[in-house]
Amino acid sequence: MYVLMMTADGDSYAAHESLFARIRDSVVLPPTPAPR
Amino acid sequence: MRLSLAAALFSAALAFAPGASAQGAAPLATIVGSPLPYRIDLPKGWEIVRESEVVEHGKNHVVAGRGGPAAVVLLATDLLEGTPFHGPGAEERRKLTDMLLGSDSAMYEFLNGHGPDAHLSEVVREIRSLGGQRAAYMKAHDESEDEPHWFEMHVTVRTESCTCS
Repeated sequence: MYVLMMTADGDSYAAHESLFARIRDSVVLPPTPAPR
Repeated sequence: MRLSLAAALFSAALAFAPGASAQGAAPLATIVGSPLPYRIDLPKGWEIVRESEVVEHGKNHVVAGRGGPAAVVLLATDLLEGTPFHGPGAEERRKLTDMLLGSDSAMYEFLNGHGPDAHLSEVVREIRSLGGQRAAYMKAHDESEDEPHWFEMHVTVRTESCTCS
C-alpha cells in the first residue's frame, strides 16, 4: 500500500492536477513479502 | 499514522520551490526504489530525494520529488514485515486500502501530516476526486514562511502490485 501526497502553490495547482493524476497512475509496488 | 519525515520533505519542497510553471504535459522519467523496487514516474528535471522513515515497528520507504511550485511524496508503507500496515498478502493489502479509502476520517487523517494547523489559515478540507479516483483535498494559506503563500494538495492511498515475478 502506498500513500501519495501531491501539492503545488495556489496559483498553479489547477495546472498540475493532470500531472498529479499521471504520477499517481504510474506507481507500482512490489508484492508484499509473505509472512515467515 | 506517522508522516513526520514525509511532512518535512513536503514542507521543504514547497519552501524551495521557484516560480510557477505549467507541467501538465511534462515528460516523465521512472524512479526505482532501492532496496525495494517500487516505481514512480516523475517529471524529468525534478529534484529527487530518497529517504527511509523509521516508524514504530519498521521503516517506510520514501521518495520525494519537487520541481517548480510542485512537490510529490510517495510513502511505501507496508513493504517490510513489522510495519503497522504490513499484511500477509495482496488480498489483505487490498482490503486495508479499500477500508482506508472508504473512510472520510481516515483520509482526513492523512492531511494532518502537513505541519501544525497553527501556521495555517482559511483551511479547506474536502474529499474530492483526482482523475476520477477518491482523494483527500486541502487548501490553506501557509503563514509560517517568510513569504506567506497559498497551497493546495491531494493525498491518496492505493494499492498497486506489479505482476512481475
